[in-house]
Amino acid sequence: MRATEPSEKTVRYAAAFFDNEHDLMAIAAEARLRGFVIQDVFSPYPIHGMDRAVGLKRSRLGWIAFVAGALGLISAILLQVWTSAYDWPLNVGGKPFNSFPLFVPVMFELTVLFSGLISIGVLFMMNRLWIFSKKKIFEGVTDDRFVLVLKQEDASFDNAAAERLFRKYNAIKVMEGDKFV
Amino acid sequence: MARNVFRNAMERNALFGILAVGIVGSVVGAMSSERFWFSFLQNALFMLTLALGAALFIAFKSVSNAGWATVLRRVPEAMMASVPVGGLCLLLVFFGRNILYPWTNPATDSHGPDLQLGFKHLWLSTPFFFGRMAVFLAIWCALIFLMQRASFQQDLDGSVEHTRKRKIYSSIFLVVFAITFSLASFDWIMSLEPMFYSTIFGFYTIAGTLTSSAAAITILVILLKKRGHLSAVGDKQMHALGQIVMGFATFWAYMWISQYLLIYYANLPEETIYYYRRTGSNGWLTLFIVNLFLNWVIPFVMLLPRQVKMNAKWMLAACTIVLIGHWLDLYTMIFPAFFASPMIGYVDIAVFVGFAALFLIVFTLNLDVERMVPTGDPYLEESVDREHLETVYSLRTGSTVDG
Repeated sequence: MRATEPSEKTVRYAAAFFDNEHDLMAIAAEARLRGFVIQDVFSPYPIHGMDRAVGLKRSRLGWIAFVAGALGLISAILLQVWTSAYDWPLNVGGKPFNSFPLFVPVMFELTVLFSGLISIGVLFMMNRLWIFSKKKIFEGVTDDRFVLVLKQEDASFDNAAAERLFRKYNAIKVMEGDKFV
Repeated sequence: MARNVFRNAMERNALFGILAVGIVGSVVGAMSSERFWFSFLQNALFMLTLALGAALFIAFKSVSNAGWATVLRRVPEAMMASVPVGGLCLLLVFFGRNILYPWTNPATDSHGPDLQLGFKHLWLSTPFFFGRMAVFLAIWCALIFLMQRASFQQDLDGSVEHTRKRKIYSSIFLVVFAITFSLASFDWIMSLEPMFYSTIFGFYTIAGTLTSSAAAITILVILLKKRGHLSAVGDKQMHALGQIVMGFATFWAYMWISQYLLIYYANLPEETIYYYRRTGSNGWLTLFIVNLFLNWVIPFVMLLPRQVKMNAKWMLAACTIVLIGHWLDLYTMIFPAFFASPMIGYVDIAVFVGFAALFLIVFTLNLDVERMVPTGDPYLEESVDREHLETVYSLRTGSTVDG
């Protein structure tokens, strides 16, 4: 779940580790309220309502899937009409060349294929998950850890306040570093 | 004490009044109109499929260990109480057999010698036909009763054993239902045109059953929420219900095109006659196309955006369209077999109103406000959103009876 795009490559960050989703959800909401900038959150599985807690904008992926599906539908129609009625018309069982019901299965399949493949591809690109990508993986985040990453934009980042917030929600471990990519 | 969802006695009396009007209209219709038995069959099937679909919903949920719907489980459970009632109504078709199924009377049957020979002759004999019907209904009623009993007992002792039992009954129900309901739809609908074959017909009717009952569950949940019940049902459930309606509507369309396509490919006269009757005249052709739009195109497009699934008004509209679509689907399955053009008379309205009132009466009588949430179910916490957990805990401590 990417909250904001990492524009500068040298942004410092503070990452807090939790052992359950409820703490993560609650601290995300409160951190935003207190003016911290959330870089990202990590969890082993999708959490309902996390997008709202982090303040994510609505994903544009749905539109991409829709456009890709429509593209698949149109290509299926063009492909079949062109091949079976214009390029090489064949009489099959006395049916008209443009027999629409026969085109439906391929229309369905190509819609699903285009929509699925293109949205998966775009999803990986949007999340910078292409091959050889050196994305930071926090320890345990694919297992049983829930991580909140705060951006330390400039000197205004209140270390003491962040510390207190982490402790309030039972952070197990806090990590700091730079170059969050 | 059982307390039902009516706000006052007037609402209940009004519902019984509507039922009475429906019955009187039906009796008058039975004596005066040739359309009565067709309408009766259609609306009895409409009621029965909604109830059976609710049982399927519960069975899917139990078998897949799904937790999300636990908080609203009493709604489909109250719906499935209509299976015995709808089944009994359907058995009354026995008295209309000469009109609906002329082959039950070989002396006057016009289908000729084809039906008097071989397997069809055995399969479509009157005692076997109605005996089968009774056996199917009895099996469904028994399994539904067991599922329901295990659910209510769990409220009292909170034992996980009941969840396991429900899972076993549900597994049996799913396997038995797939076979029996396919055969039942061959019997009750396809044998109206006894010369017509379609092996996918059973799946097609199951798809319609699933879609319409999911839509009915959604509508009833929304209406109950408006009355202040089921307050723990949140966006998560509405979203999931919307997905289910949309998914099953698409499954229905898949079955629709599958049946149409196979018959179109093969182009055999005894199969194409089915579509010839339904697309041959302008009136039926219009309904044929409207049917596809109501059952799939409109709900699919409407329910695509995520926000719509969590919006009560949009969901009500989409689900109502699906329900009308299912009613029309049954109409276009049953009536074109005997009528050259579509029409709707007072008989159809009276029978529909009667069955709708009957369904709602059975539903409300089986929905006890005190037991609206299955408090003994271990999946209950998983089911509700975090902000409703407190409500659920209070229900659990408040209504659990010890011993």
